[in-house]
Amino acid sequence: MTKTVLKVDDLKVSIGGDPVVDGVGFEVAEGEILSLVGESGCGKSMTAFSIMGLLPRAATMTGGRVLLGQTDLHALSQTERRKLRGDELAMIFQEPVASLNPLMTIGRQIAESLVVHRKTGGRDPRRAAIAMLEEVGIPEPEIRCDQYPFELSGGMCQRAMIAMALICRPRLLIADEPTTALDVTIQAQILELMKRLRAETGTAILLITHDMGVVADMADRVAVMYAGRVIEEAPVEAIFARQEHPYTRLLLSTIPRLDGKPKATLPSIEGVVPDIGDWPAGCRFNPRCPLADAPCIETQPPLAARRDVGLAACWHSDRVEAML
Amino acid sequence: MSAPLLSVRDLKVHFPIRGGPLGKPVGWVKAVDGVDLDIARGESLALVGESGCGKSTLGAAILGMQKPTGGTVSFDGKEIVHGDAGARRSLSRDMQIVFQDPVSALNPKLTIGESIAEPLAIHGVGSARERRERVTELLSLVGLHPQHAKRKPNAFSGGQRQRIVIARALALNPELLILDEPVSALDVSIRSQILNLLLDLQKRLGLSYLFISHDLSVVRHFADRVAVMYLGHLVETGRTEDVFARPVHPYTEALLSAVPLPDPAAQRSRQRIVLKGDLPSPANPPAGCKFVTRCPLAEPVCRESHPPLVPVGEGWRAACHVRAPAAAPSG
Repeated sequence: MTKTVLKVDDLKVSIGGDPVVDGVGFEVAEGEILSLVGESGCGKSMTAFSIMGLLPRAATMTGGRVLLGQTDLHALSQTERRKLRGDELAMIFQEPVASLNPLMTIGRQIAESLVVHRKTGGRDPRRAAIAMLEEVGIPEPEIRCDQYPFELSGGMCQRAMIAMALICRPRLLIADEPTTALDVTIQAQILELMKRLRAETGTAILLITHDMGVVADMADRVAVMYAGRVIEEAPVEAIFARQEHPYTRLLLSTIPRLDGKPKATLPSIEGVVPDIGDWPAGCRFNPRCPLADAPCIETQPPLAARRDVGLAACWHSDRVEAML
Repeated sequence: MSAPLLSVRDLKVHFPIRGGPLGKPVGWVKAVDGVDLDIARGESLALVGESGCGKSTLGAAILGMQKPTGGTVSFDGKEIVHGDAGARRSLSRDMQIVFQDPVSALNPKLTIGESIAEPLAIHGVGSARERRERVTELLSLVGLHPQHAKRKPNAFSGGQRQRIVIARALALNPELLILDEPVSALDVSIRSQILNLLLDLQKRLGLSYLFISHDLSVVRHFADRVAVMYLGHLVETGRTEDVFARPVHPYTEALLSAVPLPDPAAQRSRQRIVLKGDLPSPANPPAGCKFVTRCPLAEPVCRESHPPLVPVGEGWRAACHVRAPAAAPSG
């Protein structure tokens, strides 16, 4: 049995009284990559921020628990949480250039968490930063170490941010759309790098993305979110082979594929993602769902086991396969 | 063969790097450096490449939003770069653009009906009533309710706003639409709706598209032909099915292999070419072939001279010293 690194249990987050995350739960094991998939506004980034303890001021956690190993993160004081962040818990963001401090050299930013957490200020943090830059594949690390973020390309800034996140060998890395702002050839480099580091360090990764190609490439397990809830969860092969929730099924079928039929009409999902505070009663996907009927409008389906491998929250999972 | 609708020859857009005494240029960024392309009537050509390759600048130069440094653009046989302002203006009826971000492309203070009617008003087309009728027609053409014409953009979702932008672009009955990343800013579940709409409009109205995109799966689905751009130059052009099945240029090959397939078994078993390094700075490109610094096949000749685009199949050209040598032996 592998060790569970992160356990999120019935997490609830609200902004101004409106729920944005509504009872989300999942686990990530050591060395595992769990992909959290969903469209903008589904609550995936808010889930990540509440794990990190970095929720924006307007948002409050209104329920649930987040456990890192055995530690309940929300039972800790601010000081104790700060000790974990950057050490056992690290996060990389979508906009690498905007997320780095423009007034600090790359090397100092990378070494900062080492200095803060490991108190190795007396030893040589610069040397550690250079070694880390080398590890993430940045050429001429001795030169790059003393440069500022504006002197580096977007791909290199993302590598630097990964170096920064991994220098203390965190148990959990949260990657929020880490390659969305990058070109495909650079994306390929960053994904390879994350896979290699995971294999070498056993870091658990929570990978937040909306790109199903990235999910297929990286994830061990996938959790799909819609309107603040996880609506389906399964191992990656299982979920791509057969979906138990109509939203997952439609989401996968709407993507044009390199091996698809050119110019064929793509299936599409009617309507739009509902706004926060405007979630429909019953199953939140029901206004857009071709399978929706009376029970779907009345009662929210629970996330329940399907075919031994996964979970889905749908009253009509048995009809999902035949719906398209 | 009929004459192409749009024909671009040796188009160059160079930007000066100011910094010398009195703001004299100290160098040039050759954003577009000698591009040839043709688009036939009813055809869609996709322009692909990574950020900084010059694809958006090329689109802007074709539209006349950016003055080319050299070369020609002809539309329907008429040269337009060196034409006078009046000719330019009448051309804007035939050629329109749809941008990536529909939120910033619509004036928040105008109702969407006013926005859609604006090009008609500018060109003095029809009476006020005729324009209102045209707005109604355009809204139903793009799948929106004509009653919504009186609403402001903030009443609409991203996908609906992109439909409004498309309706406005179609107001003057253009023949060519330049689509600059039209679905990149939209939610995944909305993208297929807009792609379906664009394909349907093309069929119904006989439109030609220049489709600028970095998403190769979308390009494969959407375009008849594809042109791959790298640092201001085309490196390969051909029919989409040919180029995607058997890419000739090593950059095209790497680009295609970098797209993760939404299929775990296929994705994990395939051999991926991971290019080293970044796109070189366009202010300081390498000598010879621009791709030489990242190319797995580079040979000494690649550092010396820039390879020309040579035919490698029917309607298919590539610029590579190794894979498509210019002095190809016969047979």
